[in-house]
Amino acid sequence: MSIAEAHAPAAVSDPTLMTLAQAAAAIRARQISSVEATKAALARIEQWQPRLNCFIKVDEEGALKQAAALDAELARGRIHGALHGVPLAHKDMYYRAGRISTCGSEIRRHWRANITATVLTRLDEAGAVDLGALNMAEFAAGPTGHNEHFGHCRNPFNPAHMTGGSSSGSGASVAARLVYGALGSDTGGSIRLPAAACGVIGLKATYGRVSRYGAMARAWSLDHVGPLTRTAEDCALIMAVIAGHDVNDGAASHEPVPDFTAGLRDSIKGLRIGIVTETDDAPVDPEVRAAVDASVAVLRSLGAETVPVRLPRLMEWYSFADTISKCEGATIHAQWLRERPQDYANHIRTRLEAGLVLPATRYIEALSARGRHLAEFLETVMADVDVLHCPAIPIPIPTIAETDVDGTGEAVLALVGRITQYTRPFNFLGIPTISVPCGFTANGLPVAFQVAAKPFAEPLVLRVAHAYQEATDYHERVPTL
Amino acid sequence: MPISSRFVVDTAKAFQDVDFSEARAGELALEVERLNTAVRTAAQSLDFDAEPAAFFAVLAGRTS
Repeated sequence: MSIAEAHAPAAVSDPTLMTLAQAAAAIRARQISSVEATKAALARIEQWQPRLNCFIKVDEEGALKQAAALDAELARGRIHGALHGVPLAHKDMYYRAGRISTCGSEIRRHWRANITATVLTRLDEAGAVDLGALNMAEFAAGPTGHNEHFGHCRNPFNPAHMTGGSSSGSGASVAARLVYGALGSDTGGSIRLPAAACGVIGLKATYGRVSRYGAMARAWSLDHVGPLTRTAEDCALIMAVIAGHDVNDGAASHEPVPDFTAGLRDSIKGLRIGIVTETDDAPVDPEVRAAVDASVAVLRSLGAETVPVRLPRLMEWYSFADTISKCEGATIHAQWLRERPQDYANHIRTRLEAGLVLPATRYIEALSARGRHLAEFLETVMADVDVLHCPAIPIPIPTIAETDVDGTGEAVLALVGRITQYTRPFNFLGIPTISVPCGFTANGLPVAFQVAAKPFAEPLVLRVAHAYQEATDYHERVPTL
Repeated sequence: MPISSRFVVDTAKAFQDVDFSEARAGELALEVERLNTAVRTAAQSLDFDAEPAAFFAVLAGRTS
């Protein structure tokens, strides 16, 4: 059964509450029009935006024009692709020729791109509607969702709490049902952190699986483009559109693109899941641990076999990634750091500065270690398991005030440092990793686990996430105004 | 020898033409020291022939 057939659309009074897969099927079956879906999204954005600040710009006129054109084409029997008429929005760092791309910064507040990102071109060709530009951490350089220039993005489950970053608007808008899906980018966790903090799916695919052309660079060697969605199935639908080689991205993989939706409904019975053992240098809060452990029990109940695995090099990978990120970030920003340092938020500038004085040899050693560490990881940790399972954010989602690093103090820096402990190492390894919502802590904020797999095994992590979501309903909890 | 704030100030100025206050340089010295030590220590076990492009070969499954 195809995804489209699986979603013979039910009557839904509020189209914004459909999943992407349901909305796409409903539009295709002409049960709702793209204009109706877009208007419903815009109405919900109008309600929620003052509370969440997840959009930097809403393009109401452009989106409705695009939706009307897609409806007209559908009436003539032409379907663009799997996302025909479905309203999405993306982190404000995906360039569209002629459009302002702020990258969440003061420096690029009025900067217009002269190229269009490959992923946006592919989404356009698949018929997606673009609702506008989503808030983000300045230059994608923060894990919390703070933004001094455009205002902090706020968590739909409690606006006093952080969204996670850097794809803050992507996480918040998908969770609040303002859009059916959104692109984020992930250099140290920036897709998976907001996905985890806001209770949605976020996939960092294998390095090179999705083109980075026309996406603002944070750190070339670690940057990954990917979707945030309500369900794993929705994520598979977007991946099917955006994945694949691109001659414009020198790091884009030639690996054949699989059908991301084909095996989604397959059983996970017999699948071997390595459960990452907690270590002293990456402790997990007991409340988060309980929810993550409960997700393991669900996966076991679905027939998966679980075995404990150790990641003794977790913090080593973290240091390698941190070094690469700082050196490449400092290189990208060197001129502006010299000429207009005052235009950066303190906490962003200070994230980049160490890269100005780290020796080139350390940077190249970190890059040179990557192949050996990935090989060793595959030959040891992954030798006896199909996927890994570990927490996404190891602490309950803190407030915006608690993570205000400009308030500074070692305690705040240490807290923020813990946020990326379980995400950044997977950027170093470059392997596919998905964040899956698995409960709520006592403060009412989401908890999530990650599933990681061997290179290019995105269908497998999607299958595990889908099986889990079929057995649970955390992803169906809709935040209320 | 630990990295000093003076070293950070001088290096940043000489190589990057960036000015740091002594206080900020002190914070950076600790950060650079931590990363420099961590990577240098871990890199001691790298083969003579290790190079960045090996990552892409492993990623694509072309390990020897």
